[in-house]
Amino acid sequence: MKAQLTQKEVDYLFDFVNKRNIPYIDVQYELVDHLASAIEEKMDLQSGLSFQEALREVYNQFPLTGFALFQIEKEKGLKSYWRRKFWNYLRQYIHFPKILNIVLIMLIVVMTLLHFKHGVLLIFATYIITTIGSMIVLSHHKNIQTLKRMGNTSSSIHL
Amino acid sequence: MNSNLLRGSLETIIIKMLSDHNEMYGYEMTKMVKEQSEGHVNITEGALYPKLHKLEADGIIVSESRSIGNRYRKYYSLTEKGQQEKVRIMDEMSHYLNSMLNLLQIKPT
Repeated sequence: MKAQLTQKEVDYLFDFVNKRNIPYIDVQYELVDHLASAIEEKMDLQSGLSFQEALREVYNQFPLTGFALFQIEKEKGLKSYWRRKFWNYLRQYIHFPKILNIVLIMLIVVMTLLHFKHGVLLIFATYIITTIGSMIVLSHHKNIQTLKRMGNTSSSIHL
Repeated sequence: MNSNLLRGSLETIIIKMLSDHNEMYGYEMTKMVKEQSEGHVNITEGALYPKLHKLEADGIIVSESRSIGNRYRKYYSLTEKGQQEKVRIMDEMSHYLNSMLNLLQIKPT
């Protein structure tokens, strides 16, 4: 019969990985499954081998740095993921015509600050009014779209 | 086998295995490499998982965790980008191996 670790032994492995400074839950799950699979195989091959002995043998096969490399690579991966997301997002705004919006807004902000005494207040007020205005327009647009869709649906039923 | 030689080929091995098998988990990969190379190639956990995480961060592979009784298992599979990468990387490896065979005048066994 194939060896199968008990819940208590799996919990012990989680604790074992946790104590070795692996804070990322997905890496913890992966390491626990790897250790458990290797331990089960060892216990299958050598009958009478205890869980602790098998764990020691399996862990000895890891590099001297233990799990440290996993942690480093995971952090590198996360940094690269967010860096890529940031640049992709930024790239969308560097293309024409979106770039014109940014340049225009920046020009308006600079001119307002230079020519009006209470420029900051004016910009803030414009920002608030534009935001509320956009929300009203968008919600109105959405309502019209929904009504149109409903109209289309009902006409298709009649057909 | 010399670990420096293997390190440069690890990415190719992982991508090829995932291309041949729809999805695989880490321990399964180490076992398969050992079996298919008749024990000559041994991928250590310390080399495999960081490479898998790097490939995932680069969008070459994708992972999915599934419950298998009292623990979770993370399965990896190739993305569309990974499929394209496989063609490129296999071609590159084939050229490299041919060049090495010619350069070092080794006859394939």
